[in-house]
Amino acid sequence: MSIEIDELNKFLNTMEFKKLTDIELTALLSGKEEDAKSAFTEIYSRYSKKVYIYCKKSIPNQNFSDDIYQDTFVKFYNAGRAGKQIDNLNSYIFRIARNLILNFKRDNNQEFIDLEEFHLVTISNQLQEKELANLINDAMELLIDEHREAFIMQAYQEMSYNEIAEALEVPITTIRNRIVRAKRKLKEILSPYLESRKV
Amino acid sequence: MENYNLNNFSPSDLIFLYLDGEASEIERTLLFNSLAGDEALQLELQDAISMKYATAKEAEDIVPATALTNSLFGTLGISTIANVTSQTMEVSSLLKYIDLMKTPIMLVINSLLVGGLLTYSAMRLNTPAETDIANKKITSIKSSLEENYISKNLENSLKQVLPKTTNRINEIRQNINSSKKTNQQVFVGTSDSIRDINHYVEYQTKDKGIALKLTNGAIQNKVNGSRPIDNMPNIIKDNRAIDNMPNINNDSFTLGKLPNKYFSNNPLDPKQYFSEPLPIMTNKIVDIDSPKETTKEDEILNIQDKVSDYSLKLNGINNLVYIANSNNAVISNKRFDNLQITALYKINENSNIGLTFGNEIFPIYIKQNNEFVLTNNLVYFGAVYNWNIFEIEYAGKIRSNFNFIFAATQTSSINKTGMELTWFPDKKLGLFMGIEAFTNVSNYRGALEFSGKTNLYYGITYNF
Repeated sequence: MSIEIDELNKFLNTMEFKKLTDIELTALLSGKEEDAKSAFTEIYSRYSKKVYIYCKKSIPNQNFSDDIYQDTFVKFYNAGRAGKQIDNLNSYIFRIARNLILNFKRDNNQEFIDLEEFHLVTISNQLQEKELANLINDAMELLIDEHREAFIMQAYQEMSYNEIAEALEVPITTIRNRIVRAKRKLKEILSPYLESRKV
Repeated sequence: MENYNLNNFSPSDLIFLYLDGEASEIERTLLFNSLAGDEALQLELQDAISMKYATAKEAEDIVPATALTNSLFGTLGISTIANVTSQTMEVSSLLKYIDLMKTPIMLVINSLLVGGLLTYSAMRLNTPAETDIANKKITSIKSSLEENYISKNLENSLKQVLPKTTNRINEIRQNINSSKKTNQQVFVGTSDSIRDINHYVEYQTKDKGIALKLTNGAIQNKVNGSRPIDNMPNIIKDNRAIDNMPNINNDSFTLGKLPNKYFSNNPLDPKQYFSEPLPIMTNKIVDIDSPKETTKEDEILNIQDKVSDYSLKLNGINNLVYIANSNNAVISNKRFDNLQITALYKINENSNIGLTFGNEIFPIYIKQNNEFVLTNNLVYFGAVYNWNIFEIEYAGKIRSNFNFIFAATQTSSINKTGMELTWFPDKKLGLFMGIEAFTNVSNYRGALEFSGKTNLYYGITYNF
């Protein structure tokens, strides 16, 4: 391990953090403070967008999703500094975010939206790309949590089913079912509008 | 993947798996076979592609705001985020300029300025003030006195005449007051045999204060009455008096060098009149009647040391203690990254008002695109009231002030109340240091939140 650390320090000296793997960067988090900060910066550049989208799509309220987004990285950094063993960086960060989101929803007692009360508003029959994206966002509210989070990870973050399964710690078959059901549901909700496009 | 149970998925479902790149070989075959003869399924494929494209396109545009990233890194005490900002939104140009002010080169320039000021101040303190004034007196008067009639009498004349001219000065002042409206000042010559002066002109300017110019009966002006200023130079020149006109410039006061033959001691010389423009900025009449009138010479000789009512202050600020509220409980650990610049105008002997602009490290929430984003960069612009408590003469001047600031920030407002000591080793330049209480009122998600800190501040001030 000490040899590996020495090699990593060489990378540090030449500011080539981008060449380091997730595992190498994670190992640096518990080392010298300056190294840890640099490693965190690189990790952040790799995962910030994914985590941000995940939080934003999971919590519609922007203020709360930003808080959760920040808390995710703060918890991750502190865990890394404390020497937490992190085997899969991607999964680990998403689990932190997911737990924070679940806690938030539990504490805030989010209400379930009934399909009959749900109305989508379109500006025109000819749906534009942006409109469709907005409709999908709205329709996502009708998905159950497990389906929605799997859908978000796949559709917005382009994670593979396998990566999602690792992050959520469930079998890949479960993920396949959740994503397919989520998309089936979304298509069902959006079908009137999708049909209108073909007119 | 080959082992997945296909019973759960219809051909419509397989479209999703296929587009996600997660369909097995068997599933793809099954899907393609179904698509071949099913027009409705083909339309479903189009819809699924549209949905997938819409979500992917939207994801491209979603990035965390720069302020959010900065806030996170500030919380973690990480300052270098250059390599992650490429993913985030652009910072405002104002903050860019502020960052520029905090660059190492600017800190070096500031240090040089302060160092230069200290050196200059030390040099000033090493030169006795009395000697300085005495030297001015000798150089400005003696050099010209050696060449003409005045040289024999002027030093004595100044001492004798000034106290005696009280009545005459009163007359002049009345003229000044009466001519203010027309922007023209009339001075009346004298033939008073008791005095050794026939003519004197009092100039008064905003920048230089009063200069008393003396001529010794040499102006042979044959023209009586007030003259428009446009004609003035020729009139004087025609009467060969121009050579005797005293010359006042920024740093000296010299008498004319008219040869002796042009001087007249004839006490019966008739009254002579001429006009001079009254400077537009004139608003002061020095009270020569007062017991302090004998200091008039000093007024003349210290013209260059006059200061205006405007001053500029530049200061750094050290955060001492943060008083956080529930929302900005995460406070910055930065202590030295603050700047403030203030312009002041003296409204009376004890008070100044002005404007201030500053940037301090303080956690606030900024609303961006309907979001509240935590940032440590507080920028403010507002009004200042500065009240002088006392002033003592010691190694120059030491002044104590109360300083009150009310300013608008990106979110709402701040209040600063401080007390400072300013040392003026020089009339124009000063060094100050003070302590202030800083309170912030900010709008956080519709609610007003109070927070604050205490600051140590220090800097330089310049009186123009």
